[in-house]
Amino acid sequence: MKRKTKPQKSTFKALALRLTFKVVGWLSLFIFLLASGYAIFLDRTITSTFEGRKWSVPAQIYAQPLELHPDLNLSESDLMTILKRLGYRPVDLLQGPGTFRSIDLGLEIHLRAFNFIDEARNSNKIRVSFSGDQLQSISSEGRSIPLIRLEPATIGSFFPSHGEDRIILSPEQVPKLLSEGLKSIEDKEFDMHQGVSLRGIFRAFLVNLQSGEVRQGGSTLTQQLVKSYYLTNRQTIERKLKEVAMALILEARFSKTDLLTAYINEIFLGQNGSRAIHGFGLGSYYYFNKPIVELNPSEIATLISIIRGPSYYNPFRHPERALKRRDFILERFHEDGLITKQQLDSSLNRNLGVSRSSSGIASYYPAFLDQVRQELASDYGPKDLNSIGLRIFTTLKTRSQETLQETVSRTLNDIEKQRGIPQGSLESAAIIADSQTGEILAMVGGRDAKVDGFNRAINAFRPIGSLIKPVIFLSAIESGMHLASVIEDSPITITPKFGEPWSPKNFDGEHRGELPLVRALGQSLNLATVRLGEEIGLVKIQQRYAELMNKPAKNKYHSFLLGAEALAPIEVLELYNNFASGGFQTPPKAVIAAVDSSNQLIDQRPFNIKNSIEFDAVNAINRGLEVVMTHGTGRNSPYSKLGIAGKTGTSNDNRDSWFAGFDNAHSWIIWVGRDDNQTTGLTGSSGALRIWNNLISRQGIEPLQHLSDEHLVEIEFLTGLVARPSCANTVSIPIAKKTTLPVKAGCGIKQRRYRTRYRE
Amino acid sequence: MKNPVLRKALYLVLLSLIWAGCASSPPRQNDPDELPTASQAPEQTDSSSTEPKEPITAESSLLLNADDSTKLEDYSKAIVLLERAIRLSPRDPNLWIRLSESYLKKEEFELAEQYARKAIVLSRQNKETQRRAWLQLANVFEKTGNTKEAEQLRKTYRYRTS
Repeated sequence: MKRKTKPQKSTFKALALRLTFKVVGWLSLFIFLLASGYAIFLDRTITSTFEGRKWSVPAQIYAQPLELHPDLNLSESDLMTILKRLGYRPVDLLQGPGTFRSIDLGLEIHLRAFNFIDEARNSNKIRVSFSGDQLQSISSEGRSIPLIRLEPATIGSFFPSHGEDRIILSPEQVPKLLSEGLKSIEDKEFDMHQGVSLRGIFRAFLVNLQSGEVRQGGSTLTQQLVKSYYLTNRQTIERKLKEVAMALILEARFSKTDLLTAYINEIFLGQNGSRAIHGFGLGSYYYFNKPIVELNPSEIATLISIIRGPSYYNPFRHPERALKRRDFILERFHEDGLITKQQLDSSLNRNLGVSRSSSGIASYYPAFLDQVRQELASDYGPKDLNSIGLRIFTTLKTRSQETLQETVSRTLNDIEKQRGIPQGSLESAAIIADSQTGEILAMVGGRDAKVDGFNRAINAFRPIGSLIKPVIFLSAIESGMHLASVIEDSPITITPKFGEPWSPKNFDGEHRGELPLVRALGQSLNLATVRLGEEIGLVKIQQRYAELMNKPAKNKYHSFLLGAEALAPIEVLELYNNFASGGFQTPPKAVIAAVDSSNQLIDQRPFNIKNSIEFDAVNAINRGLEVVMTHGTGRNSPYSKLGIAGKTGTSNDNRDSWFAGFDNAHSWIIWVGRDDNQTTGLTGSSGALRIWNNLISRQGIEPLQHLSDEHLVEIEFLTGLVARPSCANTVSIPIAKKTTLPVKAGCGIKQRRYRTRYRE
Repeated sequence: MKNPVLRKALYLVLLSLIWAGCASSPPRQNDPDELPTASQAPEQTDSSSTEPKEPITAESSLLLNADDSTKLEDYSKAIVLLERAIRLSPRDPNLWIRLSESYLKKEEFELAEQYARKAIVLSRQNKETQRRAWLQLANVFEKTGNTKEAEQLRKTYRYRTS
């Protein structure tokens, strides 16, 4: 048995051994293949990410530059504020571009060089003198100059491949102290190691052990780069292994310069609201409001100190911690021979110098940038957008933008407090544009500027209520009526072919009988408007609307006549620019031009205007819209009589409060409502118009200058009878057609029937 | 650029040439018609070391640069400069006439026509400027083959005023 069993046993053993070998062999092969596959996968992922980020230089977006010229309404302190926001430093003696100083009657400024669309301007010293709140003269090297620009604020940059914004630095743009300093603080062996440094880990361990706190990390810059691309901060073995593998792959594939530059452009340096601050280019603006080349050693050290803990070492919130770490870093700089003893001493004496600026790149205009993005997407191919070093010049005026945003936020707070509306329930959108060119000067997409969320200026489609009325009155005037033509304001029921009969009402439930068109428009009377609309015909009116807007009306029913047509604020602006511009379609636009890295214009977007309304008709409507402000629903505004045309609007159940208006230079559209579309209890004049009032109290207006004073007739606002201001509450309206008008008795106007004096 | 005196003189001669035709028009705010006329130009050149008596305005300095670009047939740049001037004075019909001229040179007729029409509306209070705007529209019509209307406009506006 034994004999028998022995060979059996050995056979079994051999069999088991062979089987084990086989299993182990196959398993190893399987694991090997799996690992190789995974390695290839990792290689592909990290390489493509790295290359994608490395080669997609974002488009830089600029606001409008401030044009300085004699007689400009700008005080010395205004200009100082603007300069500081652009990162100019006040000094006693000019110390190169980006500095300015006070001199007799004004300022001396060392302007930075800048590549504008039309010229590459060298850096330049100018003297600006003021007289009161006006700029008086500008000179350079003793010669007076009529016009010069500050460089525009950078308001963002788009990464074509993944949409984030940051300021990308090329290797040449990185200050030496920053690159060397980073190595000195974060990764001493950077130039030697292959992605992972055992010595680095060991040294960090020793340093931390000695100091009793975490002063150094063991990760190489390459590992940190990988971490910031993909990984979370969770410390797991798997994560660490993946990080090491990817770091090794990156090191094998790319040069040290590429890796260091990528790191400088990628690393997370803080959070501004919903916006992550990545990279030293943006970080420099966010913390110091100036470009990286202008940072001193102390400021570079502060930025480097933030890497270790952007929130722990946040210099705004924890200045002592940040200062302590900065000083530690400065001393290391000195130990490693990066700065002299003198530099060290003067740097240690400086305070942190961080500036919470409200403008420049550090501030953020998400709504306006949305508009820019939209225009770019509709006009450019991905190829253009990906072209390296694209620069986009836009129409934004940062001062207007900030005033508008502050006004919107503050006014909504006030309204909520005064009316007992739940705090934070109201929302708003507002746009300021140049009325002649359509260029958007400011755009607010919500009450909170910091939240990069729903952009109501472009995306909130709400019924526009009475804002539609000028279209109906325009159609009436184009059909041969005039502002003194009489219409009846009395109940009306419309029974459509399909659907329920419709009986609109005036806002107060009253009706006022016969009255002139100008009053129906001024007081925004629904019954008179619907009757007028019926007289002209809905089809004709909607055809006119489609011509003015370049798109058809969505609502084909009669309720269109009272503004049951949902539009976004920017569309309302497009509608009203037809009037504000004096009869031209003047579509809103944000992009002026795009320029490539060699400063060649690759796209120039013209003022895309098109004559849409005959002069006499638009002139009449605009006078009517002025009467809205002087005698109608806008009359309670303290600025209503300064030369403004406007219209208030309220949708059903006070869900939407609108104001649209224009003066000689600007158009404004303001909407107030709730995101859940519930009632606000606000009318156009108690909501949106209040925002406008507060805006004007800060910005002022440019009163309308009439393009024509011909054929003006004084009529009584209530009745439309020809009258004199001395005997009635009158308004001046143009009546271009030869016509006869009834006269108000007792005004000393002799003819029973008034004939306009106009002759062909 | 190298000789500032020469360049200044060149500017002033250009300036006087450009506006010589409109020197007789009624003055108006923001209207480059008010610019230094031919008779004032030499004075400025003589006293180039001191402050000029009638300084060049922001808009007119841009117009001069636009002229330079136009001469070099760089109409895109001229347009950039004119648009800049329009941002400073959006309701100045003269600037819109100039913009129309540049687009006409670029053979972008639709915009050239619209800008001329814009100038016509904006110059309603200034018949002389409006006459020039109508004549610019006539130029556009001629280039687009609408010779009959161009002729008609020229007949109406060439000799009517001034």
